[in-house]
Parts: sequence; C-alpha cells; structure tokens
Amino acid sequence: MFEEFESLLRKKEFGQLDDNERDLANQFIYNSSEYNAMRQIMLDSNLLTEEIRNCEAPVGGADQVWSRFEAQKKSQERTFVLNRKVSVSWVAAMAAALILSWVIRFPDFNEAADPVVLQIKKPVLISGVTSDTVIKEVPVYIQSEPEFVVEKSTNSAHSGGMVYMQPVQSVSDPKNQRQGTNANELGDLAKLTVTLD
Amino acid sequence: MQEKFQKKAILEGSDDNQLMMLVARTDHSAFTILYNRWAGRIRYFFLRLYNFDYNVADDKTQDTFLKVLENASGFRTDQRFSPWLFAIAYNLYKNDMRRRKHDLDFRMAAVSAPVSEMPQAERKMVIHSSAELVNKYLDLLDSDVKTIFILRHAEELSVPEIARATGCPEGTIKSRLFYAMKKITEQLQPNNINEWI
Repeated sequence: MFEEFESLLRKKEFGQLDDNERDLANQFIYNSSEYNAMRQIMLDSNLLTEEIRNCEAPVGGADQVWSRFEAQKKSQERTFVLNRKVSVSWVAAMAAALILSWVIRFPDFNEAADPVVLQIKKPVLISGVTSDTVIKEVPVYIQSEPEFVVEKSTNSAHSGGMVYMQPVQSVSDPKNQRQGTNANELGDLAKLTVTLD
Repeated sequence: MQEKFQKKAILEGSDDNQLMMLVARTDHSAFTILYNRWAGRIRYFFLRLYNFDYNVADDKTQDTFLKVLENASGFRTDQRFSPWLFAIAYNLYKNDMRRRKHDLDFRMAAVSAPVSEMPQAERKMVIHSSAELVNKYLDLLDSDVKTIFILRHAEELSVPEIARATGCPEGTIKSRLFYAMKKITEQLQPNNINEWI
C-alpha cells in the first residue's frame, strides 16, 4: 500500500486523484497541502539521482582494489601452506613418538605379536590356600649362636651321651630388655637336652 | 589486440550478474567494468553517510569492492546485483560506526562539524531552494533513516530489496520512509524555510 502511495506522489497532484486514490492518500496524509509537499520532495529527490550520475569513481580504484585482493590472496595461500606444513610435521612427530614409546615399552613386540610364538597362559586355580589361613609371625633372634658343649656320658645306663646346651644369654637379661623374644619359650630352650646316639 | 577490444566490448554489454560470474572466476577485466559501473554510486552513498568526507568515502568504496571480490563466489545470480552491493556497503558503514562509537574524538568532531562540507565542485549540483533543503535535511536525519531514504529515492531499490540490504523488516523500512518524508515536509513549511535561508 505504501508503494502505491509513493507511486501516486510521483505521478499525480492531489487535484488529479480519483476517489479511490484519494482514499488511499488520506490514509497517509491530513490534507492536500501535505500531499503536495510530499510530492515536491519526491520530485526533488530526483536531484539525488542526478548527483549520483555526476559522482565519479575514484581514479585507478579498480586496479588498486585488484592488487590488494591479489596480495591478500597470496598472503592467505602462504599462511595456508605454512599451516599445512606445521600440521603435517605435528602428525609425523606424534606418530614417531608413539612408535618409539611402543618399542621402548615392548622390546619383544614383534615376537609377542607372532601368533606362533605367542602363548596364552591360562589362569591356574590355587586350591591349597584357603582364605582363613593364618600366617604366624616367626620370631627372629638377634644374638650370637649358642655354643654346644658335648659331654661324654659316664652313665652306661644311657644309650647315648648328653649334650648340654648353654642357656641363651638373654634369658638372664631383664624381661623388658628381651625384645622380640618369648620368655617362656627361651626358658624351654634352656631346659632342652639333646641326646646323641 | 583486436580480440582484447572485442572482449571488452562484449563485457561492457553484459549485465551485472554476468560480470559477477566472471569476477567469481577472477576475471580482472570484468571486475574493472563492474567497478567503473558502480563505484561512483557507492562513493556517493558513503559521501552522504560520512557528511561528504571524501577520504573516508574513497576508502570505504575500495573496501566495498574488495569485499565484492572476496565474496564473488557466494553471489547468487538469481538476485539483483545492486541490493547485494549496497548490503555490503551498508554493513561496512555499520561496522565502522560501531567501531567509532566509543571514540570520543570522533563523536566530538561529528557534533562540531558543519552540516555540509561539500567542495565547490559538488556544491554546484545543489541548485534549487527546495532541493537544497532536501539535501540539508538529509544530513540531519538519523543515519538509518537517511540510508533507507537514499536507497529508495536515489538508488531506486524496492522496499524488499532495501529490507534485504539493511537487514530490517519491510514494515520498518516503510515506516522509516514515511517518517523521513513527514519530517522533511515539516521542515519545508514556509516558517522553517525562512530558518534555513
């Protein structure tokens, strides 16, 4: 509708409008003077078109723009090639590093990978061990090896001679100094007699 | 040599869309013809928007055609060339305005600058009183409204084409065009004319 109104402004004065055209124009304007003023603007705006025709393009502009475009294109190509070189180098370096790390980690990689050489070890069920097995701590004695004195038996009633074993020295030590030992156990050791054939 | 002239003659007879197809294949001659055909109009468009600052207008004209070269492959040949071209120009202007928005110096200069700084050669084109008023009032219009007014009345683009070029809805374009007409009409009242003269 606005385009039709513009078209009327260009073509006709207010007095030349028929009834339908006036109805259309009245939707945009208050009176005939406003219509004519708008029409004058429309006609004067032709001046802008005249100004445009007289406005020349910047001299040598096309060649300048073209050379800027060429330079820009070359620069982009150079950047693209550089980026591509860098990216290819990165991929190659990463691949080499991966292979190297594989070789270091698995030196017999080739043998292991051979299906003939490769032996698959099946898991073995250890049936002898039960979960409620108690592992007893074994005491360790930090002391000199006890001396053994062999006494020749004078009693013929004995079938063999008696061996007297010197008591462990630590037995005579105060109890609190006997670390890592069991006093009762050591006492039993002191009473130990060994019979030789 | 003769072939070159023949080619030039053929190109000059080609329409904008045919030339754009050649520009997309980086044809320098086609670009030169397209530039010579449109650069003046684009320059005028920028002159209007930048208050007849010739240096800026020339730079922006070159930038516009550089964009044309860069985006030539994206041009759809089923549409008119001029709205596409003015869309590029208008986007450059908008981006530039956005960039300058926070520049206080620019804002101060824009406020203090005289409305029209046209050189004498350009002033000769402004001839009649009412036409001069249109020109002067255009410079006082908001840049968005001014752009739309120029595209409509100077470049003779249709409302849908202006909508595409500026990215505004058609309704907004129509209301802005009407607003511009109304404002200029008010300024053209006899009392206001005396103020101008």
